[in-house]
Amino acid sequence: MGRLLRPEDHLRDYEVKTRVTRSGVGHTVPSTFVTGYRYARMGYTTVIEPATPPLKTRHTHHELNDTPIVDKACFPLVGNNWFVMKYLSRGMFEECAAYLAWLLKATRGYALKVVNPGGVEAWGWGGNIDSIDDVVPNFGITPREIIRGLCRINLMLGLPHAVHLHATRIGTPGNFIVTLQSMDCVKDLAWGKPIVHITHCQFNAYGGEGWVTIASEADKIARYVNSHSHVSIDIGQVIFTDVTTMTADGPNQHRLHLLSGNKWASADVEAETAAGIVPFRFKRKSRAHGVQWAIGLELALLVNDPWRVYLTTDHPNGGPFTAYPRVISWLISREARERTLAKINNVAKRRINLPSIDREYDLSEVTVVTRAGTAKSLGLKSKGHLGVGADADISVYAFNPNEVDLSRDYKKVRKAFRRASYTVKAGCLVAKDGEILQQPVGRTYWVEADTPKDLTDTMLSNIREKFKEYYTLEFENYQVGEDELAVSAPVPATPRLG
Amino acid sequence: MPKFPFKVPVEAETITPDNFEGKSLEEIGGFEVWEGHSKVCIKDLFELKEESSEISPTVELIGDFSKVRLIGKGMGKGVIMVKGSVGMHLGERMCGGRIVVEGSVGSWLGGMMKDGMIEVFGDVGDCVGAPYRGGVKGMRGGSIIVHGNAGYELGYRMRDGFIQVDGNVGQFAGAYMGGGTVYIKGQVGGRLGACMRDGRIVALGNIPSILPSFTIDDIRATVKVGNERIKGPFYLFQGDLNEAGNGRLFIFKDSNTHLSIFEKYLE
Repeated sequence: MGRLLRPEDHLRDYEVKTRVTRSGVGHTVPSTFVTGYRYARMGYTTVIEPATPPLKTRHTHHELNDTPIVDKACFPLVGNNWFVMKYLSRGMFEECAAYLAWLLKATRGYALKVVNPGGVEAWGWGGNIDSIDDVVPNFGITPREIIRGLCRINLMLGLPHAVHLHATRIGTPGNFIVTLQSMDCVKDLAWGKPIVHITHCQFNAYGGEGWVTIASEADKIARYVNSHSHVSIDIGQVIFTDVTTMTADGPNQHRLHLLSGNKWASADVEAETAAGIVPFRFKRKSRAHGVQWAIGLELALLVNDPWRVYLTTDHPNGGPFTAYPRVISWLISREARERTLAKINNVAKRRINLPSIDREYDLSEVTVVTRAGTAKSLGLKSKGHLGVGADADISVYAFNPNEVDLSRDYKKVRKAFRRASYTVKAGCLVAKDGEILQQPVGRTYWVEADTPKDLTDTMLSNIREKFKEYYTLEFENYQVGEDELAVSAPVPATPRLG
Repeated sequence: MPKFPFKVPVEAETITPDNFEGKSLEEIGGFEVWEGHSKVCIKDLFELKEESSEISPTVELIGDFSKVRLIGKGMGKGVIMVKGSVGMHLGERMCGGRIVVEGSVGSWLGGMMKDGMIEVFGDVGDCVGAPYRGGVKGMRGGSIIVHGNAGYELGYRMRDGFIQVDGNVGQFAGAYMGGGTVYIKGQVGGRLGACMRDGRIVALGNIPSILPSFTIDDIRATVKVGNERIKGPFYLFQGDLNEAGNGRLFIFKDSNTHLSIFEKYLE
């Protein structure tokens, strides 16, 4: 839909067909083949689609099948799902767990994605939800209960990744409080590793009361993350460029349309989730954008444990994924940050913590926040390391860490990270100096969680009945067959139910 | 002069007075153009002749150029004279100089024009001055004069500049207009000024209806277009209210007696 909305995005950036590669278009929303090539050229070999509406996930898999080279997985949206809300409001955790295990299989999904829990259901009535203790209309449940219920179920099913949460009040000045509450509301369920992951956390770390007084509260968020091991975050870094915002947060995307006056596409409201797409541009001279830019970096620099904070741009919302090398340069070099800081809005400079932060990432930290940490967070045991049994997914970059001063020579490092000298995927050389040599088909990971037969049968008969009443397609057709994935790679979960 | 009738579209953005200036026929013949999906040279498709002219640089195109697109793209000086018809995207992003066409022109004439002058004696296609689909910045300077008729979406997303059509125009003229002036002497299709925020459209001919999101403001005796003061009277409509717009439509009263029903809303 993003590509449909933005023909002008296709025009400005296109790739011509070569002997090996197919043609493609798009800068902020590239077409599938080009997406695979661009990740591979930068030396990335596994990619996640973090939000997919179950009804449209067959199409998601079609697109993933056409995304060459990289291994992939997708996260189905469950936080505004009618079955989930009904089960949780009645305390029926076990049957809800069985439903979600079934849903993950039906969508060939990998993790539970939650976007603005309850708020997106309220959007079906033109509304939204601003606090995790407000009641979702018609369902008698609060976002707090949804998040808690899903985290409990995540543990019950033994899913490899935490609940992936796009929190309430995204993009709203003052929202850092609800973000802290969202993290805190499940702290008693913790058992060592993260159970909730706050995605694109930058967009949820704002202080101030409005756009005039917006300020960074990244330090408060980082302090919480530092003292609570049940949480992980990814930063969602803003880049000063043209972007396409697209999330399942229907009401907040609509707000952005009204705020910016840019064109807006809305979908799925009548179905299981919602969607909103609005083109946008982050500008250095904008006070708000300057603050937003600083926050992403502050989160990465103020969270001490690189295994619980990951580098993202929330592509295509904060910036295209091709900007990762630039983000890396800001993390490794204070000078690089200062150069950009000098150009941002003057009031913004006073509303942020970044100028006083000296920390510079070393390469080991960069590796963790872009590869090893993410692999571990996702529970992909053969990724993100070079030990025995790991997949031979290896990227080699053209600079010698012993000879380069990261902080001073950040431009050289940035350039190197743009084009891996060698990208090896499953032991096969797929890219060399930016040229794609081969395009093997990657695997599609999905989670297989077997739940007890009696519980599952009860759940299925209940679901089937509701399907007949509420869905316009047959129960059997809703489910994505394993043979519909180009290369199916089920990952077993270890449920503890019954 | 085309060497043979073209079967597929030809993209010839290298044909500009700026590119040809100071070059020999040899060099010009070697410039790249696209014939369909093949890269060829100008000399493969066109006969070249050198002549002197008053204004330098001048490029004269003689014959049927109706399949040739993007001529004059980004030009900033000189003259392009077309003795025949010419294809789409003529004068795209032009920032100076002059284009004169004796025949007709395809769609997207003067797309996103910055400055300069285009005059067409024949008809033109759709989307005069407009950006490509999805783009938000249209024509922002210069002038386009069409003696024949124009298609739909004339001046789409125009920000400034001047467009005049002596003949008729199709629907959605001035859509999403943000500034500038459009002057239509002939008949006007419906949905004039849809989603307009600013700018002026002066229409002398008959228009079937005015969008309900425009409100009648006044009756004006005359309206000034450039240096000319045109005699009315004109109905002045303001809109598009869906965009809180301050665009103005000057509709010639005598060609539009059916619009007299609006007069009762004037106090």
